[in-house]
This record gives sequence, structure tokens and C-alpha cells, in this order.
Amino acid sequence: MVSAVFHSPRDAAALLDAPPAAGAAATATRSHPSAQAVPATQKPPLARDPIDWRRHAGRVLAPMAGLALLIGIWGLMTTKGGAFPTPAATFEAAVKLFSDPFYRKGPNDQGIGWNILNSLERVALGFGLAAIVGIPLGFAIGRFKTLNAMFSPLISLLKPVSPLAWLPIGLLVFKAANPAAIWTIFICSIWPMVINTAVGVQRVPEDYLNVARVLKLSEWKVATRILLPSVMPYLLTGVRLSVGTAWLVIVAAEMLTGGVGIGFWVWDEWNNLNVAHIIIAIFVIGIVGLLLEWMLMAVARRFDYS
Amino acid sequence: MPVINSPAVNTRRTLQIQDAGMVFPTKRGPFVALRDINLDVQRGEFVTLIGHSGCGKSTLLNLVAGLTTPTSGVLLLEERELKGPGPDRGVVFQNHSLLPWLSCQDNVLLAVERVFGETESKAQLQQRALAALELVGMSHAVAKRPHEISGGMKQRVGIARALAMEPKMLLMDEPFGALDALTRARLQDELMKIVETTGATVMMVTHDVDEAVLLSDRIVMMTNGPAATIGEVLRVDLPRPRERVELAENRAYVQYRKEVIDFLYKRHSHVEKAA
Amino acid sequence: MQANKCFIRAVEVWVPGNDRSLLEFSAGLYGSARRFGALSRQMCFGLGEGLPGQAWQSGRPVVLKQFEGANFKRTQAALAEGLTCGIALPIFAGDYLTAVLVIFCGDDEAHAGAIELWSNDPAESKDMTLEDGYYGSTADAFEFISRRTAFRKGTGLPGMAWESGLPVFVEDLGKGERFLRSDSAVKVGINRGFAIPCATRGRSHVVMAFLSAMATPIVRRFETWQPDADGERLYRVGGFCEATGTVPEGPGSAFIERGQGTLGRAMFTGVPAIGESAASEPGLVGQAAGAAALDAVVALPVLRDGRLQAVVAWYF
Repeated sequence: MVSAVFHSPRDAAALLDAPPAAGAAATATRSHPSAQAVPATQKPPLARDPIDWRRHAGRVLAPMAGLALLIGIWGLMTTKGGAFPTPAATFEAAVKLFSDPFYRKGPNDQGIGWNILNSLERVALGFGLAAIVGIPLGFAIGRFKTLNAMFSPLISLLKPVSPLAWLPIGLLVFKAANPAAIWTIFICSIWPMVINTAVGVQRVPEDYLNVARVLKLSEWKVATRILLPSVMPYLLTGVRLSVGTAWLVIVAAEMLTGGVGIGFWVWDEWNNLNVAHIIIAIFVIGIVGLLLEWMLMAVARRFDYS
Repeated sequence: MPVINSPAVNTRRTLQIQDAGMVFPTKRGPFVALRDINLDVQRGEFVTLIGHSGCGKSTLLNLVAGLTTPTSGVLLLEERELKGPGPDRGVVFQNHSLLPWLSCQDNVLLAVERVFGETESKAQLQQRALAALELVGMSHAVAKRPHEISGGMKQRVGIARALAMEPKMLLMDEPFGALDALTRARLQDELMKIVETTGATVMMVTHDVDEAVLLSDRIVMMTNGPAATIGEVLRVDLPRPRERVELAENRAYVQYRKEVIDFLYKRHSHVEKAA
Repeated sequence: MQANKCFIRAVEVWVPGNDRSLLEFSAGLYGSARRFGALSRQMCFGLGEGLPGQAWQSGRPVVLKQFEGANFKRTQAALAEGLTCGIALPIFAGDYLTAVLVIFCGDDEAHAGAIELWSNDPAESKDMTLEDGYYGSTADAFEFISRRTAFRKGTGLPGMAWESGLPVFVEDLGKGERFLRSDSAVKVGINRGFAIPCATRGRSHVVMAFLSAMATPIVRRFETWQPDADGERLYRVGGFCEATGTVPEGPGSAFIERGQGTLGRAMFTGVPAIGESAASEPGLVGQAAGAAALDAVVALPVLRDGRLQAVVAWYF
């Protein structure tokens, strides 16, 4: 997190007392704020902190230790053999899988890379549609009380419904697995986006709206310059929640409908009794989900103004 | 005869409030916030509204800002009736209200664009924004975002934004209330300089007696709510520029201060009204 | 008047003569200022002449801050008796002048007092501002602030009298320290304020205020009496006595008839009346005077638009 430059009264006083020339020099370079920005004519730069081993240890070593523990327990429990593969065997299978992730042998036999991409494609479509419909709807609901009254009960009613319950309707209407899956993604990821956007609009601080009123900004300017940036953090939270749900749902939907994708692949491997592959799939699904989450968090951080 | 409200030539009266009143409908029935407000503000005058909480001083400022419409009476700005908010009254809020996703310069630019956008080029608008920021001593931080500067600086940018519009009146609602005493003192001094340079007409709400006496040409003291009204108007005849340290020992300053405190804290004790 | 001095030292009533060309002496209360009284009883004033004549001519109260060199005919006598300022109040019934009440005050190092004349011109503003004032031995700061203050209806001593149209008394204005010169060593005891709305010829609202400090009572006792709806009887509403404190509302049975005693006379004629022996006055007036050993009573009618609003009783 970026720390504010002028929190220290010392720095603030130093800057305020700086002669105009120094001030001008400092602004000539539109410096990006950083924790160490000090005007050129002022004090010497602070010495670098020594590398904080303990913090690095916390961030990297601890999770690794957790993982090692998990694998250790796993290994212990499978030493006697049985249906569940050992960590070693699973690792071997993984190596083989990822050595050629993008092969194509037939419509139902593709590399794991393709499976993942197919699933992601469906997620993207369903999710994109949900955004296009959900975000403007959320705006409208947040801005106009009558719409809020109209839709709020409906949303509350439909929100807790398991996405998989929507799947049969999708199959009925679209008659094919792919659209049905996208439909399911759409219907389950739209709710967080609508709700969060609406809340965001309702929570725009009175102060900003007062600024808009005092400046007499047009409706368009209010929407783009004030509402949109103000709502962005809420919006992105909604998006993050939706993506998590979407990824979760796609795996389940694919298991039920067949087709090409990571979910289907899991089901397929189950039918082949290839437990090692299932375990690998679990890790893969988890990692992809995590990556999606990280991506969106990075985007969210860009729009965080605090 | 002392002249408190000079029978001014019309053009010198920037603001006229005539018999204004404000009643708010509430669940428990109508709430009379203000009644019988009459006040004229001359051009270039610095007027403060002071009173206890709930005395309606902020409501009155909102009426002048146009954020609220009076339920009775009328407000005239340069002879024209006020109809809602607008850039002819620059407002400085207590919590700066800078948009956090814009830099200081862009915050000021937003206001400048609104007022001058149709007739001037982008470069000219930028110049105006920079000039306003320089006026308040914020040239060194034009590109910074609000979260990167201190409270006092944010408030300065707020003032710059208001002044950049070249408004007919500057309205300030306890602008320094959220700041520590030292920052407040510094900003008060700077405000005086800015007002002297620009000749701005200012109406400020405050609950700080010293601030009122230091800055004002006239102090408007409001009675307690509900149905608050103007109680007393004191003309502060201290020469400008006013230096805070010198004034502390100025007898007149001390007396002014006492008068305001008397009004606020010793209102009519032991009143034996004959009726 | 008693030896322990009040701020108000002498009260006179001047009424227009039969042909209304001169103001003639009607009644006067001079206390210890006997020679001044003796001189005054023989005088009369034309329009614009002397203090009463000026009030008559201008139709507004007149404050006389300095006797010497002013349009004042009794300078030497006044100064000799320790009188330091005067105020003349014209009393109107509608547009008709019924009398001019002249009040002389005396302040010195040990007795501080001030007279202020506040006015509001409704055509100009809603402010009541200081039109004139006598500040005598009080501090400059007091005058400084008063000259720069504007009261709105209902606020401050003048504002309250303006709003109610009735006399207002404040036992302690709380402005004590400011009231006195900085070199005065004596701490402030009492800080009385007394304001009376005055009728004027014209639209202005005028309030006369007496203020005193340093244990200087303005009068020994004051009471406000109000008429009933018919205007036939006066009922005591309240007041303040230096000796006994707040004066309560009089019982419903204790009223003064129109024409009865000094107060009744003032009520009847619309002209201020003076009763030199307060203890022999009828009803509550006499009782109060007797109980507090008060000598004389002045009854001042307060009129608005020709109608009697109240009768103020000052006891000395």
C-alpha cells in the first residue's frame, strides 16, 4: 500500500517552508508518489532498510510449510497403497500430462491446456454477459428508488438458488451443453455484480454529490466523473465475487453436461478410475481460480484511492 | 450615527437575504430551522455566522449556496433571485470533498471547466487551475492525489477549487473545523491574504470565537434553535492586515471577543421581563 | 430621594401650555437637587428651546451628554448638583404630544451609569443601532462595542424592549468588567439594565436604555403595571426592588382604578405623573413604598399607537 507522502509533520513543514524555486523544481517532474519522495533540495535520502528476513519468511516459507505438511500427511496415508495414489505417483502423472498440454487426438481427447482454455472461454462469455447486463442494471437500481423496490425482492428470491438448479432450464431452452453452461455462469455470476453496483451507487458520499450540485455538473458528467469512479471499488468487488463463483460453477456444470473442459475431464477421468488425474485436476482448478483472483485484485488495487 | 448596514448603492450589495425562513417537514411534524432572516452583505465584505450547534447557521449557508430552497422569503445575489446552486457561489465544505480519484489539479480543473470550458481552450483552463493552486500555496503538489496530502493541504485545494471559478461569493462552512490548531491558524492567515488579494466577498460559518473576530468585518450572531434567527450583528473595526499576535493584546480585540462570548454563553441571565 | 444615590437623580414632566406654544412645568422630583428643582419650576420652553423644547421639536428622544455649550438653560445649577447627563422623552398619544419627560442622571467615580438611545428605522433595515449615548464614568470599551453592535428584535436589552413593546429590566447584564474604566479598583457588584420603548412621531422604533454598575441602582424600585382589556384597571405584572429583590405579580384583587393615585392619573391622562409621597398612595403602591421606605413615585405611561401598553412605576 502506498503511504501518503506528507503524513510526517516534519516533511510537511519542510515542504511548506521550501522556497518557491525548490517547490517548482519538485513539481517539474510529475513524480509518482512513493514512500521515499523527498524534494531534491531537502534532506539526504533515507538509508535503505536491511532485508527483512522475517517478513519474507512469513510470506513464503509459512505457506510452503503448510503445503509440505499436507503432502506429508497425504503420503503417510497412502503408504499402504490402495485406490488413492501416492504423492509420488501423482507427480509422475502430472509431469506426463503437462509435457504435452496442447495435443489433439480427437474431439473428446485433448490436452489439459485446451481443457482449461475451453472452460475459461465459457466463463468469460457467461461472465461478460453478466457484466453487460448486471452492471447497468445495478446502476439503475441504485440510482432510482422505484426500481430498487421493484427488483430487490426478486433478486433476494433468486440469489440463493444453486446455479446447478438453473442448468436444466438452460438445457431445455438452448438444447446444447455449451450454451447451457454459459447460461448457468451468467445467472449465478450476475447477482453479486448487480447488488454490489447498486450498493456502490447508493453509497456515493453525499459530499461528492454536493460538489456536483455546487458545480452544477450535467447528468452525464455526474455519471462519468463522479458516480463511476466512486462506484468502481464496489463494482470490482462484485466482479471478484462473480469470477470466483463462475469458475466454481463451470466445473460442476461441465461435469453434468459433458463437452470439452476441465470439469468434463474430471468426470471423464473418474469414469476411467484415474484418481491421480482427478487430484491433479483439483490442483489445476484451484490454481487457475487463484490466478483469476490475483489478477482482479491487482486491478482493484489500481482503483483504490485510500 | 454608527453605520452598520450602509444604505448602499445597489451594486455594492452582493447578497440580500429578505425575510428568509426554513421549515423542514419531519416525521414529528414541521421543524422550523430558521425564521425572519434579514441580512445584506456588501461586496468585499467578510461576514461570519456564529452560534451554537443547531442554530441553523449551516442551514443558512446552504440557503445562500442554493443547496436548499427557503420555505419563505427570498435571497438575491447581485439583485437576482437565487435559484439553486451554481458556480457563482464557490463553496468550501468542512471536509474538503475533493474527488479522490483526481489529482489536485484535476479537481480544480473540474470546476474551472464547468465555468470557463465553453469559451477557453484546454491550455487556458489548465493555466487557471494552476494559478488557483499557486494562490493557495499548493503549486508543489498539483499532481498529487488527495490521499497523498495532509488535511490542511486538502482544504487549501478546496479553497482553490472554489476561487478558481471566480465566484461572486465564497461560502465556507467551518472550513478549518477538522484541522489541528496550528494548521488552522496558518490557514486563517493565508485566507486573509487570499481574500485581500482577490477582494472576495466571503460568508463563513464558524463556532470559533477567535476565528470570527480575527477574520470578519462583521460577525452575525445567531440565536439558539429551533426557529433560530439573527440576534446581534457586530461590526469589527480592527485595521487590516490583522496580525494574530499583535491582536491578542489589542483592547478592542479583547472586547469584541468578550461581546461574542457574552452573546453565546451568557445570554440574558436573570432576565426580569416586565411582561 | 434617599441619600444613597441612584443613577437617576431628577425627573421632570413638561406639558404643552393651553395654546400649545410653550412647554410648562407640570411636575418634578428632584431629591437632593433642590436648587435645581427650584430653578426648573419657574421655567418654560418654546419649541426647540432647551432640552425639553428639542425633544418636542424633533419628536424623538434627545440625549444631553454635556451641559456646557449645549442648548441647555440650566447648566450651572445642574453641574452644581452633580447632574451629569439628561434625556428628554416626548410622550405621544398618536401624533399628539402629551408631555415631555426629562430625566437627569448623575454619575461619578463611585457610581457608574450610562444612557443609551437605540433606534430602528424599519424602512432601512431590521437592525436596532445606537443612535446616541451617554457613558460618563463608564469604560470606553463599553461605548466602543455598543456603537458597533446592531440588535435584532428580541435580542439584547434594547431588542427585547423593542419586541415586547414593554419595559424590560435585567438584573445582571453580565457586562460588568467591561462597564468600568480599567483603572477602577472596585470590583463590579451590580450591573443593572433597564430599557423602555419610546413612542416617536414617525415610523422609527426607539428604545431608551439605562445601565448602571458599581452598586448604583438606577431607581430604588421599579414596577410594571398593565391595563386590562377595557383599559379601566391597572394590574401589577412584576418588577424589581433593590431592597427586596424581584417583585411578584400582584394579586388579582389588587388593582388600581383609572384615575386613582399617581399611577391611575398617568393612566388616565397619558401624561407622566409624580407622587411625592409614595407611602400615601393607594393600594399596593403605598404598601410597597411604606415597606421599603421609599419616598416618591413616578408613573410613566408607555403608549403605542395611542393605546396604553403599560404604566411603569419608578420609586425613589
